[in-house]
Amino acid sequence: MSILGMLDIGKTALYANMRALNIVSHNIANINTPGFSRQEAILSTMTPVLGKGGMMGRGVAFLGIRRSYEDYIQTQLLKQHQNHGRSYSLLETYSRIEQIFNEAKDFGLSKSFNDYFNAWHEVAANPESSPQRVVLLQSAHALVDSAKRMEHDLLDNVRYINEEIDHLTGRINTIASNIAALNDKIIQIEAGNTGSANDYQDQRQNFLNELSGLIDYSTYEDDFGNITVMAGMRNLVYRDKTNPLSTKLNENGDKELFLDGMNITRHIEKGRIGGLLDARDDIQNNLQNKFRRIIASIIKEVNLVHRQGYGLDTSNLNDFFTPFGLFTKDFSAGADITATITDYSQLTLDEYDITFDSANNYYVTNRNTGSVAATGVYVSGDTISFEGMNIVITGTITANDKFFVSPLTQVVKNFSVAITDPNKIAASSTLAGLPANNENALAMIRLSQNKISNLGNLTFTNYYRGIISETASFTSAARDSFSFEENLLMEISNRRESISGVSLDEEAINLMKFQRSYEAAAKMIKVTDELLQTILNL
Amino acid sequence: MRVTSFMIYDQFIRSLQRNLTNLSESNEKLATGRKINKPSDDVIGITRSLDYKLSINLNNQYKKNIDEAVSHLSFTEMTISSVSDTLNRIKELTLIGVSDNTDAIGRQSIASEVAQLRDHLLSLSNSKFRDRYMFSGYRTDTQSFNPTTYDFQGDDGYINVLIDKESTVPINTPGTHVFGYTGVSEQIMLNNGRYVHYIPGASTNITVEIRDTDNVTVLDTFNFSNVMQMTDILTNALNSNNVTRVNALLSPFERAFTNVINHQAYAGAILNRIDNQTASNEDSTLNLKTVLSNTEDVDLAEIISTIAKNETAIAALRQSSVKQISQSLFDFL
Repeated sequence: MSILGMLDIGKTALYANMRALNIVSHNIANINTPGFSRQEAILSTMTPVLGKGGMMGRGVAFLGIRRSYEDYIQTQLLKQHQNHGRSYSLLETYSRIEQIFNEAKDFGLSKSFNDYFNAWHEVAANPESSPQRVVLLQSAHALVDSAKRMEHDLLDNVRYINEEIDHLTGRINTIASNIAALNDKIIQIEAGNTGSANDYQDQRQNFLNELSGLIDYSTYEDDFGNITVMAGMRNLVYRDKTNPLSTKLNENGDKELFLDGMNITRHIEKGRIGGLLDARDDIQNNLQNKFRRIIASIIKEVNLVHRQGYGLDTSNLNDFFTPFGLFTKDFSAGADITATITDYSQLTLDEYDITFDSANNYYVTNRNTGSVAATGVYVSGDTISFEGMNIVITGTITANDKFFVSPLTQVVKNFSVAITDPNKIAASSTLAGLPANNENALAMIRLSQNKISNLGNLTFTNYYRGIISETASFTSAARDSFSFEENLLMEISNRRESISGVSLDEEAINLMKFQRSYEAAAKMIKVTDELLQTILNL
Repeated sequence: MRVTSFMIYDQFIRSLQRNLTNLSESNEKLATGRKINKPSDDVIGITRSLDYKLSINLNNQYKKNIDEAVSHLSFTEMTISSVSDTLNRIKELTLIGVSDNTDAIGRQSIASEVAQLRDHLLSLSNSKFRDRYMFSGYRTDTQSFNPTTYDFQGDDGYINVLIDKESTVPINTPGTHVFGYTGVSEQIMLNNGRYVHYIPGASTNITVEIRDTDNVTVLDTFNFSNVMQMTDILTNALNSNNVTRVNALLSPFERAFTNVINHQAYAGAILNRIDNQTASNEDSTLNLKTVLSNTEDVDLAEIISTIAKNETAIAALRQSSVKQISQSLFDFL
C-alpha cells in the first residue's frame, strides 16, 4: 500500500460524500413534490486488495441511489384511491340530488301537493262559488310547476354526470399518455444499466395514483419495467402505446365508455367514473322512476275521481289533468309499435317489454315485477290488449324483435292541467245536485288520504316520504362512506409517507453528517499531501 | 413509525379543516335555528317532520272548515230561533182567533198581523248567507220558497264539510226540515161537534178535511205543506171569520212549533260538537308544533356551547401548529 493509495481513498470518500450531499439536497428540494420518494445513497467499501499482512481497503464506492419505497403499500394506496374516488362522486351527486327533495326547506313536492288538496277543501265548502275554483286551478298549476322543476333538476343532474364523465375521460387519456411516455423513458434508462430511474418511477406512480382516483384498473409490470394498465379487461396503456378511452351516447342519451372498441361501462365500478355511473343508474332506475310513478298516479287517480263529477256548466267526464299517453320504443328493423291506453283504471303504471321469440309468438313482460302479463300467437294487424292498454304493431316482425312500453317516461314532461274553465271543476257528484252538491269534491279530498294500489297500497304522501327518506339515507350513507374512505386514505398515505416521505430533521442530520465526512476526506488528502511533501523533501 | 415533516403539516391541515367544517355546520344550525337543514342531516327526523307538517297543515285546513261551518250554522241557528219566535206568536194569535170573545172585526185585525208574520216567515225561509240561499239544499242559487205559492223550490241536499279526518258536518239545513210540515194521519173532534181529519199526502203535503157532526159529510177541505202556506190559510180564515178553519189549524201549528224547536236544539248540538272538535284540533296542532320543534329546531344552549368548544379547539390547534411547524433542526445548525 502506497501513499498514493491513500490519495485514492481520499478521492473516493470525497466523491461518495459529494454524491450523498447531492442526494440530501435533492430530497430537501423535493420535500413538497407529490409522490416523491425519499432517496439515499448506496455506499459500499471498494473491493479490497491483497497486500502484505492481509486485505487492504481501497476506500468507499458509491453504488447508486435507492428509493425508499414499498410495493405493498403502493398497491393499497391505489385501491384506496379507487374507493375514495367512487365515494367522492357518490357524495357529490347525492348531495345535489337531496337538495331537489329538500323538504327541510320546503323545496319538494309536498307543499304544492298539500296546497292543491287544501284548495279542494275550499271548493267543497263553497261549491257554487267561483274564487275558490280559480284558486284550485292556480294551485294545480303550482303542483305541475314544482313537479316539472324537480324532474328538470333530476335530468340536469343526469346531464351533469354525463358531462363529468366526458371531462374525466379526457383527463384519463392525458394521464394514460403520460404513463406511456414514462414507460418508455424508464425502460431506456433501466436497460442501459445506468441504475434505477427513481424520479421517473415516482412520476409514473403519481400518475397511477391520480388515475386510480378516476377509474378502476389493474396493472402488471413486465420484465423490462413497463407497466401495462387495463381498464375493463382492455389495455389502456401498453408499453409506450395508449388506447384512448372514448364516450358514446347510448339510446337513452347517456354516455357509455368504450376502450379498444369494446363497451366497458359495465366493468367500471370504482374511481370517480365508477361512482358517477352508479349514481346515474340509481337516479334513472330508482329515483326518477319513483318520482314519475307518483306523478302518474296523481294524474290517474285525480282524473278517475274528477270524471265522475259534474261541473257548474253541467258538463261531466272531464279530466282534471291532461291524461298521459304511452311512451314506446322499438328494437326492430322492420316493425313499428303504437300503444294506447284504453282504461286508465286498469293501469299498473309499470313498464313492459314485448318480445317476439318468433315472427308470430309474443310475450309481454312486466319490467317491475318480472312476470309475464300476456302471451299469445300474433296475427299481423291484431291488437294486443293487456292491463288497460292496446298495442298495435305494423310492419314486418322478425324473431327477437323487442318493443318497450312505458307510461312513465314522459309523464312529467307532459304533465299539465286540462281544465281551463273553473266552471268545469266537478265538485258535484250528480247533475241534479248542482250547484251546491260537493260530494265529488269530498271524494277528491278523501283521495289524498286513500291507499293507492299503484303505489304499493301507500298514500301519496307516504310513498313520497319513502322517496325522501331514501335520498336522505343514500346521502347520509355516502357521507359516512366518504369520510371512512377519506380516513383510510389518510391512514395509508401516512404509512407511505412514513416510508417514502422526506423528514427535514433527518435531512439536516444527514447534511451535517456528509458535510463533516466530506471535510474529513479533504483533510485526509491534505495529510496525504503533507506526507508526500515530507518524502519529497528527504 | 417514522414521522416526516409532511405528515405533521398534513395532520395540522386536516385537523384544522375538520374543526372548521364542524364550526361552519354549527354556525348554519345557529343561523337557521334548525337542526335539519337538508334531509340527510337526520334521515328519521326528516320523515317525521314531514308527517308533523302534513298533520299541522291538515289541522289548519280543518280549522278553516270548522270556522266556515260555525259561521253557517250560527246563522242557521239564529234564523231558526226567529222562526220559532214567529210561530209562537202565530200560535198565540190563533188561540185568540178561536176564542168566543173575539168578534169578526177582532179577527180581521189579528189577520193583518198574521199576514205580516207570514211575510216574515217567507223572508226567513229565503235567507241568504254569503250569496247562498241557506234553505235550498244544493240549489243554493234558487229561492228556497216561491214568494207567491210558497212552494219549496230547493232540494234535500246537505253540504258537508270535513272537520277532521273522519267526520263531516252539514253546514246547511234543507228548508223542508225547518219550514216544511210533517203530520200524521189523525182525526179530532172540535167543540162544535164537527170532525177534522188530517190526511198526509205525497212528500210533506197534508190535506185537512172538515166533516160535519156525522163524520161523513165533508164540509170544507184545504191542504198545505209548510208553515208559510199554513199561515196564509190562517190569514184568509181569520179575514173571512171562518172559525172552524182557524180551529182546525191549531194543532198543526203546535206540531210545527215543536218541530222547529227540535231543529233549533239540533243546530245547537252540532255547534257544540264543533266546539269540542275545535278544542281538540287546537290541542293537537299545539302538540304537533311542539314535537315538530323538538325534531327540527336547534337547542340554542347546546349549539352555542358546541361553537365555543370548536373555537377553543381551533385556537389551540393554531397556537401549537405555529410552534411545531416553524421549527426544524435547521434552526439550530
